Amino acid sequence: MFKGIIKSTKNMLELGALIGKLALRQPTSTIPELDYSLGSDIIEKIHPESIRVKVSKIIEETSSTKTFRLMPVNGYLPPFRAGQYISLKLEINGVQTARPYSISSPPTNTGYFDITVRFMPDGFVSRYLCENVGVGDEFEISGPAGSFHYEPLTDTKSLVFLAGGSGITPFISMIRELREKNPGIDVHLLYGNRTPDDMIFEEELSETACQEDWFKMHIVISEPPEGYTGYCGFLDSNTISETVGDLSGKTFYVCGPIAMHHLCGSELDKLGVPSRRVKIELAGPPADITQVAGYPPDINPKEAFKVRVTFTGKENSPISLQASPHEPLLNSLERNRLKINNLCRSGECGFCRAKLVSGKVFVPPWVKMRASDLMMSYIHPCISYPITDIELLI
Amino acid sequence: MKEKRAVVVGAGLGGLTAAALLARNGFSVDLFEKNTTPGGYACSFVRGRFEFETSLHELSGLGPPQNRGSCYRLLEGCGVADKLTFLPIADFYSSVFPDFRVTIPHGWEQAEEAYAKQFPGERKGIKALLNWMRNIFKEFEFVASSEKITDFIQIPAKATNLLGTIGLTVEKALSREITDPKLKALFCDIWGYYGLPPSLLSFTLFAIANASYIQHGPHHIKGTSQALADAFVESIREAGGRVHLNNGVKKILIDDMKVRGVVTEQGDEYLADYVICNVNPVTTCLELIGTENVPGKYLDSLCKQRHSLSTFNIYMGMDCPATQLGLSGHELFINDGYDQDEHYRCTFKIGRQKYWVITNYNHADPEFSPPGTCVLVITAVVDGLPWMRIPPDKYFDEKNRMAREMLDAAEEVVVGLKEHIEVIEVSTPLTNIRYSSNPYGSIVGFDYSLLGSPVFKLSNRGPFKGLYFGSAWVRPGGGFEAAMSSGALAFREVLKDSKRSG
Ligand SMILES: Cc1cc2nc3c(=O)[nH]c(=O)nc-3n(C[C@H](O)[C@H](O)[C@H](O)COP(=O)(O)OP(=O)(O)OC[C@H]3O[C@@H](n4cnc5c(N)ncnc54)[C@H](O)[C@@H]3O)c2cc1C
Repeated sequence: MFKGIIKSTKNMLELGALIGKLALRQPTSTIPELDYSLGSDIIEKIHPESIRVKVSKIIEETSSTKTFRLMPVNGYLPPFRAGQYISLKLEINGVQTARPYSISSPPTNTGYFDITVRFMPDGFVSRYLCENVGVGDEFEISGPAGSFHYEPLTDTKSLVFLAGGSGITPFISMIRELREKNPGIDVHLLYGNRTPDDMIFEEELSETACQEDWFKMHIVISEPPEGYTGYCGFLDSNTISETVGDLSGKTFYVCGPIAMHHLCGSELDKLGVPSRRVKIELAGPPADITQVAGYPPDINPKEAFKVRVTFTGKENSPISLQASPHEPLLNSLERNRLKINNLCRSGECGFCRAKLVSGKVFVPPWVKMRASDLMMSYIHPCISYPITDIELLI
Repeated sequence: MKEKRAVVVGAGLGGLTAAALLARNGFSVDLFEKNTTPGGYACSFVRGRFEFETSLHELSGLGPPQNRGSCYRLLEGCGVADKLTFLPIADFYSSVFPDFRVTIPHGWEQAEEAYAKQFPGERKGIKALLNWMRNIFKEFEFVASSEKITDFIQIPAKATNLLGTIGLTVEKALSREITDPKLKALFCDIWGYYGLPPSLLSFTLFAIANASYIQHGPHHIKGTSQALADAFVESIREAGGRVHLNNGVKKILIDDMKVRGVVTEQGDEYLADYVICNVNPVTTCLELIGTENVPGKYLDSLCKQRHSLSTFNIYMGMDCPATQLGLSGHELFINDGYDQDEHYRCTFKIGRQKYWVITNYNHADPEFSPPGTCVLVITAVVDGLPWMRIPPDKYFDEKNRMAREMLDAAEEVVVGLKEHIEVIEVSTPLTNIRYSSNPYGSIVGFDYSLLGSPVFKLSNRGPFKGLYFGSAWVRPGGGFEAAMSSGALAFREVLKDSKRSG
């Protein structure tokens, strides 16, 4: 009891001393005083949300592919890691949309970002870019994003790049960077194309293969013209083991059409490559959702479902529209002039996340959803296909 | 009766709590969050086939079903408790020191036993220390639940232990009961949670927070802390509130020393009688109100406080179960030595740390990641300032250098770790700043030094009529439980004022 009183008296004395210090405003420790720098300036330099760029040059890579050189209007671009992408925001006939594009220039070029776009006859954005965009046009892009890059913390130094068609773009950035500074990495590129004419960056890659002993390349053609003497076929287990040889100690990177991602993924698994040695770039929506395992077979291809969208703060004026079950919901929303935040358009980043109030959507089985999204029924419209009438809250 | 309009700025835990309570008590509520997902630090992200918990290591104050703690009751009051599944964590913490390795269970007797087993000669002191903390906690719960004048006048008499701790650092308090420096180091080994070493940390805070873990047992949440945040959003919406994501607030409107409303990033004006800021008070004053409009006295009070530490995290999706790496518990605190001041000094440097923790999320939730895999996270508390001084083009290099050094350190404790990493993601204090706007990427707001103890924390009332704060930066402070309580305190102030004005 007595001890307790002494204790608390002592505490009171300490408290008194403390209040005294407070009054005199003496620092209680030796750490420098808070100067309230919020750090927003450095965040803006490393991870700007949006960058205004101007097309400064257009390079015709092949008959169907163009590179657009994007220069920052205010003169500054953030650093990025070779293999990362930006999201290009644009408005086409009143539709506000965006597409992710890998940066094809290397991080060592700090003055601009190149993106390389293949013209797709029915590609809404690629077609617009290739046909309508000229030097001097301005766009907003996101800051660089994505985890498809060399990871010095875990990746081995012997890399195998499996590229399909325009999936070469992240790799060309990595190869270009390695030509300028190579910390002891060797690369074997297997570049699959339908025909030899489809190859992008052919000259540069062949030249690199001749000049750099760390770089090897095999071109693999799936629909060879008559008399073609090069390697033919797909990037399957045969091709991989024949061209690469010993697979141990190698890290594999895969970027191309979705079908190729799935093929390479399962073939590498078959060959005994552990999953930690295989990196697959995000895929975007599949070319034909009806071919994806699990897609309900009874959906009528001509059917359109009713979508009712409520925006928070505008509860009294919900918007109704029709959406095809064969196309990602995000595209239908955008076509109806709705502006929806988005970045990866592959179901990973969560930027377009919306609450599914009622109805059902189909999501390809390879998309990893957050557990809480499943529990509380949130969807990523960029990779969700309506299969009933639905209601969304955004 | 006129509708009472409230705007909440920021959907961190403090903002979500305030919004849920306001909406459930008849206020018309608009909550604005600049990010795409709610939760602030309380969120998750996906890489490859893994989902990662961003922040939560251990949730305090929940308690088992038969004996719920204050945090659970708060979640109940917000209408979120029954939307969630809580996962009990068997032990309080495990420590690795150069010459011993100990697991401290929760429960007062169990904890005492574990400490005493390692340091049998100090059993008496350990018992006294734990008893003291238990009493402080009891008194704190009484003070925290006091609402009537008749309760308040009893505080000096009923809370002698609590009041007696106000001038005490953890180090001083511990020295009263125990002597072995190794025992002291073990006893406060989770100081990183509170962001200051024992020589600077408020014993008031340490006693209350540790007691909350010991008494109620730590928990995790099925679906990560993102599920917690999402459950709040559900509850707010059920009660008629509106949660605006992707739409931050860029200005708080002040007229004649009174709040008038806010202007959102999308350019809309929302008028309100009450604005509750979950955004930290520094950013609020500097950017949302403008320092020229804030009373000097209030800015002075901000300057008296110091920021707490931030974090450096390495998130790892592993291609093997944790047991294969010899990890069995929820988390391990690793110490290079016993001098915690030295460990603290090290946090001001970018590079290998002398004190860090590795957490295995599959321990509390075996379904946390796909079968045959696990998610491990290495966390080191570090100061944000050195990171803010890195030239932008050196950022990735510095981040990788520190991560490499930390992985080397981890490999010494968890042999085989590096060989099994399938997915890796590294966050720094700049990541914290980017997603929360908190100065220096602080994890628990202003620090928990003596001047920042729960008793001296900034008030939940802002410098203007109608402006309130509910976040880690104000009373009672930071951490999951405290940040939510802060939102509740802000709500209480709003309620008082709204009753007064009829
Ligand atoms: C790595 C890590 C581990 C942690 N581990 C634990 C743990 O195990 N146990 C524990 O109890 N605590 C832990 N914490 C601490 C705890 O997470 C925080 O103290 C608590 O979440 C803070 O909540 P808050 O309410 O202050 O909001 P914050 O999380 O700081 O969120 C603030 C919100 O305001 C938003 N915002 C900012 N500016 C604006 C604006 N202008 N308009 C609109 N919105 C805006 C932000 O986007 C953000 O969503 C940890 C923290 C970290 C970082």
